[in-house]
Amino acid sequence: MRSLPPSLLTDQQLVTQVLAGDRAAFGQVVQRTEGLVAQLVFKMIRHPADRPDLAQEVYLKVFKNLSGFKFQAKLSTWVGQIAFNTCLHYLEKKQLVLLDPAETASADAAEEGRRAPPPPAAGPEADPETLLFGQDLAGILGAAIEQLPPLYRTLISLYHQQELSYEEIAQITSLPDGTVKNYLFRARKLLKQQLLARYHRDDL
Amino acid sequence: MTNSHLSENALQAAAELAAQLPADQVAHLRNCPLCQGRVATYQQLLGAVAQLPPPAFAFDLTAAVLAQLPRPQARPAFPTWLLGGVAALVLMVVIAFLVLFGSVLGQALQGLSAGLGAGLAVVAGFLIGGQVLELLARHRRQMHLLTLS
Repeated sequence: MRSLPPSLLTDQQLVTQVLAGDRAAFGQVVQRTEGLVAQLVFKMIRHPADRPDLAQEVYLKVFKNLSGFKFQAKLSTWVGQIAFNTCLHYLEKKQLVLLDPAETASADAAEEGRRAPPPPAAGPEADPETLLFGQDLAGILGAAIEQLPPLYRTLISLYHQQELSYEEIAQITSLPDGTVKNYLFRARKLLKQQLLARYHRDDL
Repeated sequence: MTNSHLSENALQAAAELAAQLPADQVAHLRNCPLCQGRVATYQQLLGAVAQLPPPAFAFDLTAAVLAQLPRPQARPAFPTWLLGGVAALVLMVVIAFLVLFGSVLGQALQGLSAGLGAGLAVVAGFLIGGQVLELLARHRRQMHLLTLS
């Protein structure tokens, strides 16, 4: 029977081939998961010079531990877990924090303020497109996301760019589902606040 | 219908089309242009985030990783079980030979002179010593390769 090209193999077939000594199959594993690993490394690690080494370290760990992968999650989720933990370990070594408790406290305070009695009836808000379009939208958003704490940046990108589910993100980050949802809500709100601060608007 | 405007969490939930809102909040949203605007803002903001170009490494990650993978260990020419089987077979032949011809061999060896016996022992010693040195050299070569790979 002719063997399929690596790009057509399922995750399980791919892993089997890698364990049988097929290095090209491992190249396919890298290609399939590189986007997710890049998101994690770019969002968690601020120092650009450290990112290439970390990404390679992630895949060397994946290769080393592949025989222990039991397919209890998707291969990409497992690779993501390793990438997240590798970045976390890097941050710990550098004594950097993934999420500053002071930032969550300020977000909570802002949320409490938001629950205050509503203002008198107002007219329709300005069309948000007029606020954001016509500008360098990608640049503005990218800069605003960069202002977020690393964990918030990571969650935003995993959910809205990688389109992972809450459950997958919870598996990757080892956070409870509820915590992932809660942090995502805070991250979006903070992102909006960053944009508000940039435009000095009362509201968006 | 609730009179208070939607909380930040409710606005975000409304912006996610899949999320479910309580009926009173849905009713409020239907009639509140302010909350509609805020939901629209979130929808546009998050839609724009989804459209951001994904980050990518400026080098070929696949090639870099493959170049660093440990080299596969050389497999023995014969499977271990086959080598074991051959060794067992040889051992059985030797035992059978000794059982069948042991007494004849004993008589023959008694006839040999002590000098010939000593000569055989020296030759055997050289052979064994040579084998040990050869194995040691092979082991060193292998360790050197593993260290470099």
